[in-house]
Amino acid sequence: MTPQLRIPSTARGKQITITVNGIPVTAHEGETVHAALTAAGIYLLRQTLSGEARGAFCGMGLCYECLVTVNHIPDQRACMTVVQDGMKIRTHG
Amino acid sequence: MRSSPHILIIGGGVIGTSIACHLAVQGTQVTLVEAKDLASGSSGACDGLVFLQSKKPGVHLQMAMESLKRFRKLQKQLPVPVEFIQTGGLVTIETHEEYRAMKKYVQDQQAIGLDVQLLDRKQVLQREPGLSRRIIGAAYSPLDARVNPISLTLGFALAARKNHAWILTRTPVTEILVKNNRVTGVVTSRGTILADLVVNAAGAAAGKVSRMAGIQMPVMPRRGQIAVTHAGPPVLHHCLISAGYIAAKYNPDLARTAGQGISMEQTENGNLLLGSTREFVGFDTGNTLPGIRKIITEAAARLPALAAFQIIRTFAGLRPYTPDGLPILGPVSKLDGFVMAAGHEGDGIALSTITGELMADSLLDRKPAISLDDFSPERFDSLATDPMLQTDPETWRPAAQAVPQGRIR
Amino acid sequence: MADPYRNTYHVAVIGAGIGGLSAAHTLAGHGFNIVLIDENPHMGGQFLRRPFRPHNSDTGGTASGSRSRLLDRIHQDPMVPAGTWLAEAVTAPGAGVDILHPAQVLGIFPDRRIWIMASPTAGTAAGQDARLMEIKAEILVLATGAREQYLPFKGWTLPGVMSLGAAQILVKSHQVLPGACTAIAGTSPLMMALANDLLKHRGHVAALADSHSMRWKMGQLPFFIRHFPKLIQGACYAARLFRHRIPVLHGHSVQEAQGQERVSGAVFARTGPDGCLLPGTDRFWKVDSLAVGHGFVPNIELPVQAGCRVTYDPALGGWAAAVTVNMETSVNGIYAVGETTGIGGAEQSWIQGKITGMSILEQLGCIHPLQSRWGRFVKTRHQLYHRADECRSYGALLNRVCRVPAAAYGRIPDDTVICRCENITMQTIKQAVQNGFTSWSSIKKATRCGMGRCQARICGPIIQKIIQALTGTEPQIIGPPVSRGPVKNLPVRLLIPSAGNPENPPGQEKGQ
Repeated sequence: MTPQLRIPSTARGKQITITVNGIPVTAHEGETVHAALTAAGIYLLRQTLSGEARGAFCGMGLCYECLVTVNHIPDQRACMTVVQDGMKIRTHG
Repeated sequence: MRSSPHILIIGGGVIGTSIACHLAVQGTQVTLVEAKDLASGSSGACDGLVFLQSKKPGVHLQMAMESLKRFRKLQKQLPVPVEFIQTGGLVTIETHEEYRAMKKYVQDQQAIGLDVQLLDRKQVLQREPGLSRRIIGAAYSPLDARVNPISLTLGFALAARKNHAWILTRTPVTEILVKNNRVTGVVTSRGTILADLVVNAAGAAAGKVSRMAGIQMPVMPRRGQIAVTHAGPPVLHHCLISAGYIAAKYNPDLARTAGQGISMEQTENGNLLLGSTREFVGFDTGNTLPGIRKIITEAAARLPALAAFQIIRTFAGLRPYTPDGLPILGPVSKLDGFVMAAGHEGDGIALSTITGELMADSLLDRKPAISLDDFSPERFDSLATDPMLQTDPETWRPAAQAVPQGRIR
Repeated sequence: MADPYRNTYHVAVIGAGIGGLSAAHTLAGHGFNIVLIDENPHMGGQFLRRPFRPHNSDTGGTASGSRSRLLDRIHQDPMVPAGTWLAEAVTAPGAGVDILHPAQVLGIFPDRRIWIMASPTAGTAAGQDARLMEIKAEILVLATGAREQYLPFKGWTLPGVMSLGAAQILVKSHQVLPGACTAIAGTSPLMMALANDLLKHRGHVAALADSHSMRWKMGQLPFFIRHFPKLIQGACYAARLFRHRIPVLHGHSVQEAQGQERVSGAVFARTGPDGCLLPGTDRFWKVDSLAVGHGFVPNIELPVQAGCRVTYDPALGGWAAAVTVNMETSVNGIYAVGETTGIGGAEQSWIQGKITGMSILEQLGCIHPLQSRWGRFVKTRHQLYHRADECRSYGALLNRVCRVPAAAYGRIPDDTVICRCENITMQTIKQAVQNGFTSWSSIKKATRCGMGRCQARICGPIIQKIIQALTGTEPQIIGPPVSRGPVKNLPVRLLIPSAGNPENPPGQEKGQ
């Protein structure tokens, strides 16, 4: 069971649904993919060519560690992409 | 007269380090001076193709074939992995005009015993399924290979140093000392170094270095821009050049219609190296937006899988261009003790091993395995009054070349 | 959104942090065409981290949780409301500033032509409708900000290990905790701020490890007297940590992050005087996230690519864009502002932005020396210069406090990954250094470090410090990292004509 990481707060965007590897995940308008995945307890975002696990590191678009596939476009930075309703995310863990 | 001469090499690129390595393993006293860092010029800003097919039949191809033999044994001699792999090479053909030209070219190469054949579209796609269906055929040779050019240069340098060669980086030569029409040494930023023989292996700057000694050499910098993608899954198993590349080298008529041609390889790490432009812009190593855009669009037209890749880096190297496309190797008769080893243009990596060996033999007064007569500096003596030699390389441009505007740096 | 048909501007400001916003604000309203470009999902840079606000919601304050406490009000940085106001003012319709966002600047060409990747609707610069475009500007302002730097340790590549900034963005911008239980380590003052933010939102902080000893830190206190608001802020942070009984380990660093596919524990150990970790002092904390940071470095990739001169000074945080008092770089018509010119905090960015704006107005002939306003203008500008100097001195202090003992970089264990992109370990780096590759360009060639996707943004400062620690070579000799366009990853698909990309002129494609 993943712990509740979303802080109870009023100042949040509208609730939307995205899918991560085919599974529906709740997100909020204005959130980055990184935030939505973290809230869902998904940290492992990809593997290096040699098979090492990697997740978001710098959080501000510099390190290219958080690459995921967004709407079938590969290698998008999760930390620099804002979620949209119905967005399809694929991680490569 | 000392029994073993002290040889000083100017230039820490693949040619300079290869000569240093071949001399040092034979116990010769060698000093190599490099103005910046090892492989900081063209050797560190190029692709790693060791292509036989692209060499002109004749002594040029003979050199390449001998070089390839030595590459196979090289790994045992160098202390770092040079990633030499015989992937086989494809020369892609896109038009029927190119096909006709390549057919003759392949026949010439087969005549002197090169293992090369012409493939039709189906055969090409069988070998390399990722290629575009627009390709109508390709010349294929299993001999073509690739190598990591930076590791190769550093490997030569480390092997030379292990054999007591003295390698000085960040040591620009400011003057070449001449006494009684004989070179006696060089003045560098770290002081004077005396030597019996001075080898000019300064690559694209070889013209500049020669001028220091009062010698005119027709070596001009020709910029090649290269784009690098991120390391991805394997999508290209062979080394690849387009027929336009060969045309740009040997057939100006074909070059006009086919453009400059491109080269592609996927390194061991998975990065795709896409090259290259051929521009005369002086010593400017900047990248231009039109240059990079052209390379990428042309590469993607041949390899559609490229669309899923991202460009992470670009760079540019200055290839040492000579008017006849052949390197200048051997002693300069007008100045005793001054020896040329430059002007390979895009073949420096491929010919590095054989050049190092032949030059070492020549410097030590042995008979080289291949005669260096065709590469003699004297062949350009008739050019002495040519405007090319009278112009500063910074501003020299061939008659009909337009320089693209805009520059990335 | 910027007018898609206009691609010539008087001024282009790259980076919508405090510096860029301040420059744009000073310039706005004088009849010039101004464009503000930023790649981040939200405006305000790395300083202004506000929760996303749906349309027509109320303004003011930052994420102060459900209850606003006196404590929070006391220690709130006055730059936060100021910056919030600035962001609102610049982005308001009718402010006279075109906003191009999210848009990624890939390079700057001669004549200040900017190569940009933008997607109007995808929520990221590289989304499905991304396209390349070129903007030409008479004057350019580079406000590219700063990033964090790190002291690598075993396991720092595990998912769940993140920068302090990443954790702070999650908490402040998105109100998502970085994990159920977080450990914090490093040297940065951001550690205290993050711990505070986590506690405020009922997150769990396992422990906080500061590489500096308590004694060393006390020794720095007198220097902060000139900047006493920061001291008060720090004291408030400390008070909250104390109230929540959070263990603060002084003189401790991360020895290891443990875990398989995700961090499951952190081991902290005491740091010896020479930077090595003392055996037998290690303590294990069960955590599911670990935030680390060891200070800041300016983002100089774009200035370097544009040809601007950079200088090295530890007081500036490392390599920084060299600027005149008017914030102009060595390249004619290109200005740099904020952290790009040296770490100094949000107030420095704000002031430098104003100075830049004024200088540009002057250059564009807006404030003519004969105008009556001139006298007052000069006076305020001198006041700004003075204040900017004070901010700089605070920046120097900040950079000193963040600095990791130099020797620590030489003591990184051999199997630790240094270059995350290319998986280059300390052992490889050490070997190359032993072989004499002690300049940035040569070690890159010898080891492949810095050749990956991030283009040495993460490992560059680390490797420089490793070479420095191992050989004593000065950073000026090691050299600044090189940067060429594209400064960030460029998807090939955007350059393929068949994709119907309007940026590609017809006739580029080779005929069959």
